[in-house]
Formats: sequence, C-alpha cells, structure tokens
Amino acid sequence: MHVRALIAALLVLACAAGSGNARQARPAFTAAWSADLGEIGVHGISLDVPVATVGGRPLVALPSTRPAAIRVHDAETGAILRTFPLARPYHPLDDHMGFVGELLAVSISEGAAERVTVVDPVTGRTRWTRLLPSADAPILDYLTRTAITPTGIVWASGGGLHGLDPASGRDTWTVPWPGGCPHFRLLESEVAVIVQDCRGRSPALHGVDPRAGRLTWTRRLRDSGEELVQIKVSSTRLIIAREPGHVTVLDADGRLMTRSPITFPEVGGPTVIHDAELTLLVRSVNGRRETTATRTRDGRVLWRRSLRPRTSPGTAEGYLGNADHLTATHAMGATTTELTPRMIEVVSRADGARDVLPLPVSERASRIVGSTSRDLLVFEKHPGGDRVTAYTFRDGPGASSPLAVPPERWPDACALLDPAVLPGYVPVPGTVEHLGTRWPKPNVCEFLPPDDAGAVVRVAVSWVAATDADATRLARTTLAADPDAQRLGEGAYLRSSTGNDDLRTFAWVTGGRALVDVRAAGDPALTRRAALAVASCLNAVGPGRTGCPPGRSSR
Amino acid sequence: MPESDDKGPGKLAKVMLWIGALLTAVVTAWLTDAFSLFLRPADLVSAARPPLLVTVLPGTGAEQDLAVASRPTAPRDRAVFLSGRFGDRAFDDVVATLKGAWVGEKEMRVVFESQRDLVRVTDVRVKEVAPRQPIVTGAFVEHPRQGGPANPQLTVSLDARDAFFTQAGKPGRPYFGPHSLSLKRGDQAELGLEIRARKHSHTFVLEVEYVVAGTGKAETVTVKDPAGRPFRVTGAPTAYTAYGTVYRNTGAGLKVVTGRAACRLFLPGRACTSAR
Repeated sequence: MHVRALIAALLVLACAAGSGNARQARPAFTAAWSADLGEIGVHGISLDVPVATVGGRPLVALPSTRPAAIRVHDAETGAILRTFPLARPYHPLDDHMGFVGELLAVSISEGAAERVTVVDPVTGRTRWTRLLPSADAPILDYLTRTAITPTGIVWASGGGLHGLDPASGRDTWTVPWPGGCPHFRLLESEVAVIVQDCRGRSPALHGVDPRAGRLTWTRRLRDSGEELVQIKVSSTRLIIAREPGHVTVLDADGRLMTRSPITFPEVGGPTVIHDAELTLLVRSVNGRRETTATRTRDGRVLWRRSLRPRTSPGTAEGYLGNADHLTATHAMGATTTELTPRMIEVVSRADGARDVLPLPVSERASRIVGSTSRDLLVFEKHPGGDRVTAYTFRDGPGASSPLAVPPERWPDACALLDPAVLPGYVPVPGTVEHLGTRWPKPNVCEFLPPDDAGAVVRVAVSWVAATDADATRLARTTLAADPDAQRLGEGAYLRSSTGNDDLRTFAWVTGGRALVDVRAAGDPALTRRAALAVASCLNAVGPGRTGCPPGRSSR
Repeated sequence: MPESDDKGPGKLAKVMLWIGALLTAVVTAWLTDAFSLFLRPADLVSAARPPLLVTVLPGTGAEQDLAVASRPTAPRDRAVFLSGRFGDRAFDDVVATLKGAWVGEKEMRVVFESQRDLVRVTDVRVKEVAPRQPIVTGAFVEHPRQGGPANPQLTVSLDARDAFFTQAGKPGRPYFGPHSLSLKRGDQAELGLEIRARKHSHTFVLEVEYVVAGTGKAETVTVKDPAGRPFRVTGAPTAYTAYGTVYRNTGAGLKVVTGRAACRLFLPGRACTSAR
C-alpha cells in the first residue's frame, strides 16, 4: 500500500512537471524550406502543388519561370532533384499537373488544345509528349479538357472521353459522353469524374475508372431549381457536392461517405478531408462551425468540436474558414481575419485541440497550395521572385521561437502617433465585441477629430515579426502585393486601392519589425501625413520597444 | 493492510455492477420501446424548441442609407459611429442609441425553419410597437454601396392605412391569406421582405403566425433584429438640406460632405445644381 501511495505521488509530480513544461512550449511554425519560383504573377495563388511518394521518397512538383520549367523537389529538404524545361512558363490558371503513379504529368494549354507531357521524376527522362485536339469537346471554355489523376490520364474530345496509357501516351480506350444534355466538366478525384450539369435538371456525376476504361458509377444530385449545386474536389480528392441545405460527400468510387445538413448562416465549410485513418467534416450548423472527426475505417465518431465566430456572420471575422489540408498530425487551413497577414488554424487530429498561428506573409499575396505529411505548403508573392515555402508546425517541448510576436505583445497603436501631429485629435483605443462583452483591441486606435468636419485617422498594427529577417520578408511581401503603391518615405506607402470616394486613403508602414495600417477617412493628404508620422515613430523606437516619444515624429 | 484483503469484495462488486448494467439496459430498452408508441425520439429532442425558428439574416446586400436623430458625443461612441462599419454590432448599438432608422425602406431576408413534422406559416405582418413619429433628420449616413440589387418577394408600405405584405408586382392584394408557406421538419424557406415608409418614422416588429399540424391552433412568434431590438424605418425629406449633417461613407470611415457633394449623395443619379 505504501508502495502504491509512493507511485501515485510520483505520478502526480511527473504530471505536474510535464504540464509545466508543456506550458512553457509555445506552438509555432518554422520554415522548413523555401523554393524560388521566379515571377509567377498574381495567378500564383491558383497554384495546386502535387505531392507524391516515389520510390520511398516524398516529392513535390513546382513550376519555375527562371528557366521556364517544372522542378521536382525533395519534400523534406526542398532540394531540387530534377528540372524539366517547358516551351513557355507554367501558368497556374490555364495549366495543371499531377502525379500518375510514379510519373509526373504536366498539361500546358496551347490555344484550344492541351499538350500533355509525362516525365519520370526519378530518372529525369521525358517519357512522351502529345498535343491533344480537344477543341470540339462539349466542355465550357476556360475549363480543363484533361484530367490527371493518381490512377490515370483522360482527355476530352467531341467523340467522348479518351484514356491515355501513362507509360506510352497511346490512347487505350474511349467512353462516349453520357446521354442527356451535352454540358460537361471534368473533376480530378482519385479517378476522373464527369459532371453533367443541365439547366432545369439535377446535376449528375459519372465516375470514370482510367484503368478499366469505363463509366463505373453514376450519381444524381438533388436540385431545388433555386439554388445552384456546387461540386468540388477536396485537397484529399473527396467529391463534395453542396446541395440546398445539405452537403453530400462521395469517395472516388461514388460511395456516399456522408450526407449532412448545413444551415444558415454560413460560418465555415462545407469541406471534408480524409486519409486511411481519419475523416474530418467541417460544416455550418445554426451559426456554429461543426467539425466532426470519424475513423475512416468504420465511421466511428472520434471527436466533435463546435465553434462560434468571434463576430457576426458577414463581417471579416465572422467566417471561421476550413481546416482543409491534412498532415500526419494535424489538419490545417487559413482563417479569415481583419489582420493583413495570414493566420493559420491548426487542428490536432488526435483530439481536435485548436491553435491559430500567424505566418509572416500577406493575405493579399499568399495562399495555402498544398501539404505534405509533415508541412503546409504556402505560395508567397515576393518582389524578387515568388516562392513556395514549407512550414512545419511544432507544438512539443523545445519548439523554436515563433515567426511573429504574439498579438498580446504588440505595441499599443495609440502610442504610435505623436499627438502633436494631429492637434485637437482624441485617441480612442479599439474594442471588439465578443460573447456580449467588450474587450480591448489595443492593436487598433482611432484618432477622432475635434469636430466631424475633420477626418478620423485609424492606426492599426497588423503584424510584428519576431526577427529582422522575417520583418524584411514581410515588408517585401507586402510591397509585392501592391506594385502600384506610392512610396511616401521611411517605409511608408500609399496603397493603390481607393475608397468609395475614389480617393487613395489607405497606407501602410513598416519599421521596427512592425507592419502598421494607417488611413484617414476620405483625406489622402492627412493619410500621408499620419503614415509618415507613424513611420518616423516606428523607426525612432526600434525593435523590442513600443511607443513614440513626443517630438520624435515628423510633422 | 495486505493487498490481497480487498480482492474478494472487489470481485463481488464487479459482478453486481455487471448485473446492474445489464438490468438497466433491458429496462431502458423496454421503456423506450413502450414510450415510442406515444412519443418519438425526434419529438423528445425538439420538445424544448419552438415549433418555428425565424432568423433575420444580417444583410441583404442592398441596404438603405441611415438617418439618426442626433450625433454621438462620447469619444468611444464617436469612434464607432465615424468608422461607418454597417453590420458591425458596435456600430448598430450606437446607431440604436441615436434613434437611427433606415431611410425610405428596410430590406430584410428572413429564414423560417420548422422544428415539427409540418408547420404552415399563415401570415407575416408588421406590428408597430410605438406611435408614429416625424421623419428623422438629425444626420444622414450613406450606406457603403457594395451589394447587388434587392429582389424582395414581398413588400409593404407603412403609409397605407392597412399595411399588409403584397407580392412584388401584384399591389393591392395581400399575399398571405390566399397563400401560405408549408415547411416539413428541418425544411428552411427564405423570404425577402421590403418595408417602405415615406411620411413618418416607424418602430415595428414582425409577427409571424403559424399552425403546427395536429395541434389545431394558430401560434405567433415576434421577430426583432438580431440584437433583439425593434426595426426602425423613416421617410426622407424632399431636400438634403433638411438634414443637420450629411456623412459620406468612404470605406475608410464617415466623412462630412456639404453642398453639391451632399446633394449627389442624397439624390444619386439626379442633377444637383450648385444652388441646391
């Protein structure tokens, strides 16, 4: 008995010590690697990065403009393994690519046709290339006429859907288009899926097995005739049909995985991601976002989480977004936020525990474009060349320092503008309503004019980077997102966008590792003056300190 | 105490627990089965909920401008008001304290959801909850015009003696009466409503009358705005000069405008001479 008591006491002590350690460790993202793509342009946010394990090695395929090529990278280190030149730079809106078994297929549009090239990422050899005459296919303009799936490649023509042998590029089979109206598009699930969407009739999905060369399943969706049925493929290749009041999820074999009600207002989802162990469904139910994790094998519910947005639907923070990419340990997705840079939501696969972490990239210039078993892949726009960066999430002991300073340690926005610059103005700290209570929002400050004839000046700290390197990276990213911005000086820029009155009254300032938004309602001259004053203040104070000593800012 | 001492009673307790759990399961199954003749599980779940849920959606994308009776004085309220963030809870709260009202008309989308097997909505009507007041002219606040055009299904004018909803394009005949909405359990129906006023300002709520199938009696639910306040709509003066102040919504906050700029705001699309 004494021994038992001793063991229990030791266990309690160990737990206490463990929890203490756990508190010290702060969850964080670290950049595992970053690949330079060259100037992809604004359409880079449409990029979809293929990931596969070939010969036991995880690979990702990324486009490059210098030179025009597709490069195969090691997914763990980012090292370039192979380069496959292209005749012209890859355009993410018109072109697409994917792994087919252990080969990589790239489809490049050439006018009304598409050229498919299949390469071997291990040997670096080009297996074959074919220009596919698909101009007469009954598929809407601007939609892809080929489907590259892990199980095969298909292409569309007026005569039907044709299968290609990935090894040789020869046509192996032809399936005529399904009867009914000739309005089709193609989806890339594990197999190719034909969507037949006819006006006034319920849309139908037809699964095509590229190996068998035949239509293997057909499923008709419910259509109220009032709302459109939206059909998409999730990042893990499940087919998600959003019908009126319901979300229907099918696997690649056309089997119904789930059919769940969704109700107004929309605060997240619907989306579903899965792998062999876990299936995660995100949907909106009565103003809450419901996340349900089930075991893929038998559908047993493992955990369920419900979350209400911070603010009412329709506002910037009223939409919670989706954790729609899956790694070996977490589901991840971008969240909508008032802050300019991207916030990433990380949901533990084990129990649904949730962290929301910043990435030091601008929302206007970044997007999640894929995931590996370890990392989240994010496209980032930079002035010198666009990049895809692999971020690793760490939440255990010994986690490295975060890429950004947590918002609770950001500088007080009211202290970033010398009162002497705006005589008679009254600073009012920002607040936010949450659960019926008003909370301070110290990253925002509104400077009120003495009377309403003057313009309100709003100063909002959007970001504080943890290191100088990240601050430089953030400044470059922000500028790259707005190439027509006007430089005011000292890290202050006037945005090219205009307000409802066609005036440029939005500015941003970088300095002291911080990114600050400044605007004066309908008064560009005052916006400039306030932005320069904030810039002067940030540069005078420097990193690690907050506040602007009176008299230091420019007048 | 030796460790072996408590093994005997522990075994007995385990056996008793197992027998107890088994008996409980059998009795529960029998009771559930017996009760389900009178009451189904769905009824048990929804018994605590109202038969009809009515939700006013926060925006239609075609909101009208606002008029307020006075301007805020407290710094925080001024900051919230001058931010011009329509739809933001804090902005709505400040506007309510200033006796704000939508100018000319109020557009809203209302979603009905049935919590019973069959619910029939037999009437939706406007109920004024305060005496009519003169039109609100303290200040005019432009709505940030970002949404698409309104497309209401039912409209009502509060200037008429008998205010009832009519179908768009069919004036003079009430919609409800000849028509009703039937909803099965879990069904949702959305109505776009437009409530107009020209001569006065009105404070009102919506009353929704419905019948639950099998009960044989009509019930009523009162609908207010998402914050639980009645709606307010006001007529507009003939000229912008009747307003004490005119605010333009710049997208970066409210800005006072005067003269021709104010006139153009108030009468978009019409010529404003410099004399107005």
